[in-house]
Amino acid sequence: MGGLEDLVDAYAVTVLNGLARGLVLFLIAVGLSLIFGLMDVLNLAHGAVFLLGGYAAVQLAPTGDGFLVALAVAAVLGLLLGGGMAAAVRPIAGRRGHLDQALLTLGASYVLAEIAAIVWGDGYYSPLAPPAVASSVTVLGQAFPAYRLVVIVVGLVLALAVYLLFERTQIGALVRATVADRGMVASLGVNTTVVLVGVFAVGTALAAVGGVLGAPILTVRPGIDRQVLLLALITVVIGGLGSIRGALIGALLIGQVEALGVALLPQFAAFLLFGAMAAVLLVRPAGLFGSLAEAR
Amino acid sequence: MTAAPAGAAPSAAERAATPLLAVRGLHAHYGASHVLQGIDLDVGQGQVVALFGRNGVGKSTLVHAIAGLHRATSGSVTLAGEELVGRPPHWIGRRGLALVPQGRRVFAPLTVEENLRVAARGRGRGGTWTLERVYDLLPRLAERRRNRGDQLSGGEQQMLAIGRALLRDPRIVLLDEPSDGLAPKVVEQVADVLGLLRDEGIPALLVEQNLRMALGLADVVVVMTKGAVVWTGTVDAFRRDPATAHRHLGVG
Repeated sequence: MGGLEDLVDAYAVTVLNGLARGLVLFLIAVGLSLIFGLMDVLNLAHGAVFLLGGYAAVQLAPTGDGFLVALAVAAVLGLLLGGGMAAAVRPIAGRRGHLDQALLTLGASYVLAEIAAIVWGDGYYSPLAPPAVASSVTVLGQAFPAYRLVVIVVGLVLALAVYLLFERTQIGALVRATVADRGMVASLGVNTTVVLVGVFAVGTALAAVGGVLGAPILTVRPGIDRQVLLLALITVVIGGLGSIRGALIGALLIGQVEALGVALLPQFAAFLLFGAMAAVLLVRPAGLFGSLAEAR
Repeated sequence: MTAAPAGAAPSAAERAATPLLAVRGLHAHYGASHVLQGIDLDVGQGQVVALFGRNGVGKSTLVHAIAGLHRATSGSVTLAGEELVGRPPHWIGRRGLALVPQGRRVFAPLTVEENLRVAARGRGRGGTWTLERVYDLLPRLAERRRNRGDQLSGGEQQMLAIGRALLRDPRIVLLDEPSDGLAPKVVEQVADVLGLLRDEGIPALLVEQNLRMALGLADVVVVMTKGAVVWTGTVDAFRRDPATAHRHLGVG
């Protein structure tokens, strides 16, 4: 039993934890990034949607039973909520600068968070993982919750699905074209409002699904919406606005910086996140995969 | 102030009397500046109309106003008798008006083929222009079909912008300075392609600074200064009247 080997194994578990958190973060960040790329709208209510997803797990699957139902309900609610928010934001999108949008979406986030507080109070909830995956498995000699492996797999599958949809299908091409030049797409006979509402809805549903998936590994509580929103903002700034790949790489990076930071340098963990962001911005001001021209 | 969208469908007689594209008394503003001050302009069936004017006289604003990308303050634009003013750009696009905009505006992150497919989407009407036909006409695009828009040369981007417009099965094409920024040899290639479109009978409004190229393609010349049309006539009449070109365009 070498001490070094134990250390490496312990960090392997930390890396896996970071991967799980990073993939949950991706589910939130990707919608934020695409909505900004498409509509030039920074949706500050995006974290509140994640919070509602978490409470969906608390309400429908507190013991892990009914987890799939919670996922489905969150997805549908996310679609509806996203479509509604797109309609609400559309009239001021791209016209009146970012302050109005910030006020509108921040207001919406307070309303959603307040509704959650009225219904669920200010308690801390940790819904259990689904019974089938509630056990621990041994990874490199360390006990590791099987549910986190499930989060990793589901997160990777969803990330791959979103990536393929965006990069390899005609619908994806239409969305990318709309990100690049909305007016030109409209001139080609496409009602871009439909594209905007669709992306807003899907992006919001992913955040809600992320809330359900993340609930058993995070604590669902008031304020987690703002915390998660901040992480998602850092993620899209690092990855580049309007880029799926950027959101994925950014989220995985933040997941690792967070997990390893807490394990290695707990007193600097918070600083490391912003340090990583500053470092990336110094080298690439538009983020890893963003171009300032395209982000507009 | 905006002209009412056509409520009643125009009668057959009215349709026959109005040209394919008819701009009447069109006004448009950018903030406080009055960019279009009552434009009248026609493009007839099968006609290519060249629009000349110095920089900043409002040519691009006119193109944008016709396409619905810039809101007209008042006046009327009809396409085959249907009012376009007040309509969103996608509605106008679906009516068969295709735009080849200034600066090409190809979708940089999309491949050539994806650019074309986005254009072919949702055009609604069964059309004669297919991807294959566009590739036949513009073989360079077929070679570059897997390349991203931002990997193309200026001339290739222009071909792509034209191919995109063709896949709309256009009733009319608005071309905003297609020769802009291209090397003389490439301008010739673009002119050749535009000649083929003219031979197909596709009507066009061709905004150009390159008079020689445009005069080789057009039937009618329209000259703009400061937001107004100051001269309209045939290409022959324009050539016989060098004073006009000299006075309003600073050439000749």
